[in-house]
Amino acid sequence: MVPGDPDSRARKTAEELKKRGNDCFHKNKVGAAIDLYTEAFTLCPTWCVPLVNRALCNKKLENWDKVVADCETVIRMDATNLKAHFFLGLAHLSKNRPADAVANLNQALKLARKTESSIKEEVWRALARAKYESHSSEASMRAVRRADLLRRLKDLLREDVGRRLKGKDAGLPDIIDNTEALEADNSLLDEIFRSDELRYQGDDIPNWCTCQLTLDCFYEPVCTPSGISYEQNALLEHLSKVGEFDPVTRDPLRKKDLRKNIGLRNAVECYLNDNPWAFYHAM
Amino acid sequence: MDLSRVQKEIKEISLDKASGISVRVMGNDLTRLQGTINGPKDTVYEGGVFVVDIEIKGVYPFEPPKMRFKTKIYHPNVSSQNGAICLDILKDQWSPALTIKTALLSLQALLCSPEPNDPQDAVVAKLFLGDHPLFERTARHWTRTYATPGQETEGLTQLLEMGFTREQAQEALDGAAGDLNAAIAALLG
Repeated sequence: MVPGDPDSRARKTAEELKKRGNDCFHKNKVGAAIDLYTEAFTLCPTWCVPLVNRALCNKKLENWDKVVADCETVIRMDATNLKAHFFLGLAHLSKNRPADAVANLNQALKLARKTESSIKEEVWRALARAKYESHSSEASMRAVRRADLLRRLKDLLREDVGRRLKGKDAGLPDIIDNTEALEADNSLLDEIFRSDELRYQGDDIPNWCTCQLTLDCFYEPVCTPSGISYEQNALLEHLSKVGEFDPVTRDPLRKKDLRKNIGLRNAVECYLNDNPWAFYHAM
Repeated sequence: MDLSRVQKEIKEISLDKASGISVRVMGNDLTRLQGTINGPKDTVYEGGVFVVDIEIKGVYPFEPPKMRFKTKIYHPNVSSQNGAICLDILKDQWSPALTIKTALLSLQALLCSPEPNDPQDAVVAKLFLGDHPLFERTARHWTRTYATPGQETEGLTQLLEMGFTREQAQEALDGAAGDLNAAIAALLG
């Protein structure tokens, strides 16, 4: 019998240790929980659950390097481990590595959606934050480069005019023509650079992207028979707390009438990816 | 509570300068707000600025915000004593698709078209239906007296000059729907 086999003795003992570890964790004895998980993993190194739980403990203690190490080990053993991808993403996010965080959280979201996991919304919010932070650092770098490029281009244009006038015996009309052309070029350049700047910083997201109940970006929109979509959790809360009616049309509405609006969800994600500044509203 | 929604709502109201309503945060959490409504044009409330106390409960937006007029107002659907409001959307007709802004706008609309048949203040409603001119005079007087910032009515100034206390003078004027002579008569017994 191999040690990882659920029927082996080592595995049985490891499961017992893990259970005690969970109890400690719930009693907020995180250090003791870590020791128990470590013992369990040593005993049965092919079973990754204790390692995932140890990562959760270290996440709580904000020992991010340890979270990274454990999660990477788990992912090598089981590439479809949702929590390992999620915790690893959070660790990257905390260590200011948003691009790495995006990769892991994307993976986690895919897994969470496939299994309809209860943490899928949490994963989505973390992914939105990672994408926003990754965009922010890119945007500020780009702003610096953009300003520098604009300055250099304008210098070159001015030098170019100087060269053209120098070659010949320039009269006053020549000078005026060239100065006017230079001004026109400069303002066109400003306009072009401005539009790039706007692409990197927006303010308001379009209404169709947001739920009328949360005023936030859609994450899991559901559609009612009246054709209006709402964020699933908020609408369910409305149905149970306020009443069984469509919040806008006030038509009678039951939970069984709701349908997922996957098209809208995809459109919102597409919009966010094209306008990464808007991830701010999805965090 | 959905704090981010309340925050977004406040931002949205502050960006809208045209609607004649505003809102500000009282204290350091978002549970107490104060809204203002400009009295609608061509009504007895024109020129007045009405302050509304707003309380946001923990379950908002799945329960309506609690609103009451802080500024005294003479209106069939508002208590002249404590400012309590009778408006369906603030009670059983609330929907989370409504917002603080739409609620304030509904209050503004209520100032335009009172509903005396579903009154909050029976006395005011009775006057509204029974002696409409007197209702209008009284409501205008209240607007001038209580809802016009930094302005003392001429009548009050005169009564104060005559040596009556502010309290006496105000009470007499209110009792006479702002009519100075009637107030003087009442004060002199």
